[in-house]
Amino acid sequence: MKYKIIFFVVLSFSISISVMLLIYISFPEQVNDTGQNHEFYFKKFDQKKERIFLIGSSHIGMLNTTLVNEIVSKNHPSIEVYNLAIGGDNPINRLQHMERTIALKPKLIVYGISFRDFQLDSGDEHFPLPDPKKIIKIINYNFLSEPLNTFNPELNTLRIIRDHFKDSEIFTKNRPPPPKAIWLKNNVFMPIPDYQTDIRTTEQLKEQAEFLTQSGFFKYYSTTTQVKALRDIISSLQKNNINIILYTTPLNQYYLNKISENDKEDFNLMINGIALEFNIPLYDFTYKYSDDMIWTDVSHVSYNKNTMIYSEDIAQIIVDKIEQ
Amino acid sequence: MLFNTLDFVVFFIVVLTVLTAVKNRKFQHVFLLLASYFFFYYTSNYLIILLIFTTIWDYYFGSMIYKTKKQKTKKFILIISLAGNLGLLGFFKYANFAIAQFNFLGNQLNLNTQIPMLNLVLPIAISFYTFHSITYTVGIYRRDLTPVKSFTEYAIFVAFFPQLVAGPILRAKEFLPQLREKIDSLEVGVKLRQIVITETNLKIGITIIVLGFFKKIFFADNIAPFVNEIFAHTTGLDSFAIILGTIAFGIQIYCDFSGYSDIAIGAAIIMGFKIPVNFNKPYFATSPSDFWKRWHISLSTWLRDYLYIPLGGNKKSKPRTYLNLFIVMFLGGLWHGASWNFVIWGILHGSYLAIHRSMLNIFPSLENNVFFKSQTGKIFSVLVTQYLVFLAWIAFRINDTNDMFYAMKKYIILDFQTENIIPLLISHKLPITFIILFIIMHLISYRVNNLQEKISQLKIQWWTVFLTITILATLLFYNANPTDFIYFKF
Repeated sequence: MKYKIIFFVVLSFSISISVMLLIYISFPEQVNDTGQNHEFYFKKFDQKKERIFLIGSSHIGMLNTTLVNEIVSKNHPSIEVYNLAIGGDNPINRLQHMERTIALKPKLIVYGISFRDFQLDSGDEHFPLPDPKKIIKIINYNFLSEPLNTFNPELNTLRIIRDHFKDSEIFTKNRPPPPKAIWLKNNVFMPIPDYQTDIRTTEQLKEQAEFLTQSGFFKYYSTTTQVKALRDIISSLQKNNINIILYTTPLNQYYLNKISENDKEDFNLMINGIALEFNIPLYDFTYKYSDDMIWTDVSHVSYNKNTMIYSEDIAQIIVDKIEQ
Repeated sequence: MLFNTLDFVVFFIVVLTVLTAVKNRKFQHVFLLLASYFFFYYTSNYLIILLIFTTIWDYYFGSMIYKTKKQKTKKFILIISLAGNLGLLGFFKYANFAIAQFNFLGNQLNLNTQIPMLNLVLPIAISFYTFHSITYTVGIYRRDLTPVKSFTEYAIFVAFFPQLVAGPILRAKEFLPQLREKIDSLEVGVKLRQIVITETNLKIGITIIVLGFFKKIFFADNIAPFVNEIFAHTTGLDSFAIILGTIAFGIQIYCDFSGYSDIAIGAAIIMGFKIPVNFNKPYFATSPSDFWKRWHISLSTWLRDYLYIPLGGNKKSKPRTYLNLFIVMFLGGLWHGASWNFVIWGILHGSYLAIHRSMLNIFPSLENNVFFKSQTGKIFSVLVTQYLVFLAWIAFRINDTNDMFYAMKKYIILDFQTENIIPLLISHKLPITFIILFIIMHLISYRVNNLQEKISQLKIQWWTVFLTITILATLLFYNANPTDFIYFKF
């Protein structure tokens, strides 16, 4: 009888999981999202042209890709630059895109990275004694395939509900219009929201940094699975003979003030160590414009005609690399 | 370890498998203790030292109290033991709060005193295991129980993993005999009890666990973002928005906490342990005192037996009874956290209880009044009681005092504005659906007594249908990055 109960519990679980997966398969993610099935990955490119990809989070998304492209193609017309930045990206997330990215055979990948890329491992705390959670995380990371590692039923269910009802009158009525955004030609995944074209004052940035402190925004952990994912990305690119440039994304002074000196040192050691280990160029942009008036918030350079310096500098790095 | 993670499910299956496979009683007990320590260490790491310290401390003081002949010496040892327990709790939980109040007072009086805050972490579950442990030494002092025969037994009682992090609060008198074989209904034997998983326990345990997960993941976690949005900054919101947020929070905290308690009770039942019920349809309470017989029962009865009665209970004068009720609820509020909002929450409940008691004293006929015995009278009493309970939830939820008092004012004095409520309803259809669904299910559950038992007694095929539907609903809304249970931080 006891085993009969266990059998029926297992049966219930199996049916529930099957139904859940059936629902998810019946309502797949649409292609215009930021997933691996994005149409960009299946696009036919001009065979005569070579491709350079900018990858990373919204910090990279704020680059003026059109300008970068113009500067690069001025002397190298056969090269086209695409911005594959994804809002909220991190190495684990990016790793899922690598197979598709590599299949497009880019000539060079420019990867922008900063403290925030390593802060998204929630629950990661520094403990003086060995932490079994971290061990399990690493086991999961190594032995589970990527979809299982990042699978989140709640997000899928909510997406299906939202997609299913998006055209029904009750769900569209009175809904605030989406914020206006600028889609640059070679930006693949993320547009630039209209509000990020403004340049904030020092006072506004200071206030924002204080507000974000309360929500634990300025956290950094160096010993996470994110670091391992970053190494895996670089290693997979090198295995496929794809050049890579790393750069630390620019941050505002108020953001930097909130990061402890220890964390900064940790981060520098980690990123320099990786650059040295894989023998790849690393450009430090962290402090480059920290005091300049070019910020739309404490971690994003504004998309504005007065802030082109960021895009120009990145374009110059690419040109230098091509001409090497 | 969070209950609502895959880690716990795997951990629990391993524990049950080992307990089933190895029948040796001594091994089973040692294994249960090590499993409980692992469960705690998994989230708390080095803070396990405090748990072990509390265990050793009370184990030895319990024996000393028992061995001592003189009543005065017994009392003295008990005081030392309590000072150790409460000192640890006070230091880790309230030191920074006390320093902040002292500094504030110093500033007000221009004393120029600034004591630096201590860089302390709040040890998870410290409020719960301190209270568990106290029941042992006080129990021995009151001659309600005799000391345990081995340290392992006592350590299992303090660290028993299903209830370790957020209760229900165990009593040594109720739990310790369960580790020994029963000779008859009153006497326990010398032999350790073999942990056997029976069919009945397995079925009812799984039913309770599944319902607990359903409450937490399906209801609490889906309503939480809506509550967070409303209570992030209440100033400026209209009355209806505040009321809706308060109702949503009331449902969230009930589903969150009773969900946790259900999982704890279910897990214990599967292993053959009975731990006390923590909730009994609290939102159908007809008076403040009835509410506390239904909400967080293990805490309210603990406060009654270990604080209210020692203070004199209702055996002294009437004003003293009211004062005792007030003190108990004030400390009960503070037990939840070192913050003024919990104090205000406690004060509100203390006032409700004292006022209710004084009304019954002044108008004794109210208790047997025909109106309050009728269906309409009961509905009226439930509505009035819940209006007050939900008012207190505002204090519990909002720790910014300006926002809290603003929200309370809007809750009490309706402004009949609809500026915020309509966009809120339109843009949050899903949480609103969950709230309505909860209210319907809660009303249905009121009509059925012992729902969990009845479900577990269903024929196996119908029980499987119930499990499948509940598990599916839970899985569909399972967040791979689960949120903590609210009571974890207490």
